[in-house]
Amino acid sequence: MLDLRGISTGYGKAQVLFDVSFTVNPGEVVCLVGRNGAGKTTMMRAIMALLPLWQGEVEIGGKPVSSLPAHCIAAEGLGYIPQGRRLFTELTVQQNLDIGLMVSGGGEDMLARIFALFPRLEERRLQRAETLSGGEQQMLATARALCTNPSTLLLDEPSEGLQPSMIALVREVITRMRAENMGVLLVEQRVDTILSIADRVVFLENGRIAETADIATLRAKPERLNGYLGV
Amino acid sequence: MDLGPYLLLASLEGAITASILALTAVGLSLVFGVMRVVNVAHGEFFMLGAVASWFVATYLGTHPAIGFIAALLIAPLLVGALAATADWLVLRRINYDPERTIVATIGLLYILQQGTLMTFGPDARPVEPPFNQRLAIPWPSFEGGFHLTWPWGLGTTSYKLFIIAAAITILFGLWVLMSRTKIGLIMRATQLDRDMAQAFGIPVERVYALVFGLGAGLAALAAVLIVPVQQAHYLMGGDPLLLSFIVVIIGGLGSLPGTVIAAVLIGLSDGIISVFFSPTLAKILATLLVALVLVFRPQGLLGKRIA
Ligand SMILES: Nc1ncnc2c1ncn2[C@@H]1O[C@H](COP(=O)(O)OP(=O)(O)O)[C@@H](O)[C@H]1O
Ligand SMILES: [Mg+2]
Repeated sequence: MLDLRGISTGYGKAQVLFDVSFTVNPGEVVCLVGRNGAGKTTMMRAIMALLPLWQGEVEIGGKPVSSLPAHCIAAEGLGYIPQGRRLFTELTVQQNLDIGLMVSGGGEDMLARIFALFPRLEERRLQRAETLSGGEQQMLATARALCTNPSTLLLDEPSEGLQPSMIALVREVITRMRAENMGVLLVEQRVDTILSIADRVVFLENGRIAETADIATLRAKPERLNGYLGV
Repeated sequence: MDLGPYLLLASLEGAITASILALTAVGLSLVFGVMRVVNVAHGEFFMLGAVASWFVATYLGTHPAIGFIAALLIAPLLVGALAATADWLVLRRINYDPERTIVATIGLLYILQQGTLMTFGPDARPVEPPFNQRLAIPWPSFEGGFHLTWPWGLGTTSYKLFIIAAAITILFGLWVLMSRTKIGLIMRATQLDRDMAQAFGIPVERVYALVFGLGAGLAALAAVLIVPVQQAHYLMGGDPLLLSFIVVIIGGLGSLPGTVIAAVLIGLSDGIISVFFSPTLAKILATLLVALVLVFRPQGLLGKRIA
């Protein structure tokens, strides 16, 4: 379980997030929705301790983690799939995954499960990450995060710039992870994806939570999404 | 002597310069590549390696070979530990900010230099080579049928050949470390994306301390190798620093293979031009080459354009 309590942060003197609180439960997909510049990526970075908190607390499974250094967060159970993939471009597919495996101490059996999810990656094991197609890079970014054996997955616009078949794969993987009782925090701009896989939607507006809606009410009035998505 | 043997002799001297330069510059390149820190004190770590080598050889060496082997092991470790400490106490606290680290390492340069002057003194001190047989080099002659001649003055010493072999071995070891080991993988991941490295559990600050120590240790190792030929002196860090910068810029910032290639290029041409013309001309040409690289290929021979 990922618990955010009253988080405020920003860059330099510019505050970006204002008193943000919400929870991602195990087996739940929470979508973070907001316009460009609303602070979604900043939220992810703050959760991963890549940005110091000005106020508030992040708890993972009830344990406060905001006093931990950034490199300890992954081991607490957060798997991060950042916006724009941010792979270790000059390393091979295998080496990218090895970095993830160092967090969990996982071995060949864990790798085998992940390759079962993404057979294409196994074929490309020894290829450098920068030579992969966009879709394959997204697979690798996802696989790298799964290698850390997370309890909660953070995905920042995973379908950005992908072709439809790849977007479908991203959705399928998220659905599977939810079925394995993983919590998922997903930043997503596509209405159809949000409506088909979210359990709850948190709307972020200028760094503040504007409202939270469960998916049933949203499906009844999907036009409510539009106000938060316009570019 | 004819031109041929002369050229061979000059290349040999150049190869020694290249070996020492490659080790030193690779240390600088590693630190810049992984940490984005321009370490102005790098030459002082070279100097400290030579000075530490003198202390170890003097106080531990009952026999030159024992003293030398002890220096080869102890000096780089000492210097590396000192550098890692400096990183932890100074660079980490200023958050590896590019401008402030330059100022901080300039400060470090003077502290190390003056500290050495106060303890080691202003004199140049020799360290005995562990072995130093003179080796004459044969030269083929075709006058009156093929036979080998032994031109007077064409020769080297076993120790000089050892320097070249040692440098090649160490560079190979470094290549294995960077490309075949877990710690190498961690260093490369940190170099490629510091934030993502942290998000995937890599303790970046500790990696930085290690890299800074390793970079300094390589400079120190180079100095231990050269000090039997060159003597230890508290001001000896200037030239290696300048030449390392030249090599790192030509090779491509942060590219280890590029650095090695550029070191060989600069070292060999330095040796050859020094013998046939003058050492000053060699330095002028090297500096000119840097200017040309900066104008026409700013990313260096093997460097990547930084976005
Ligand atoms: N590294 C940074 N330094 C300064 N300001 C930043 C930085 N990254 C993002 N911002 C600012 O923070 C705000 C939120 O950005 P971001 O979290 O990336 O938004 P989103 O992911 O919702 O599009 C924007 O106004 C952006 O300009
Ligand atoms: Mg974003």
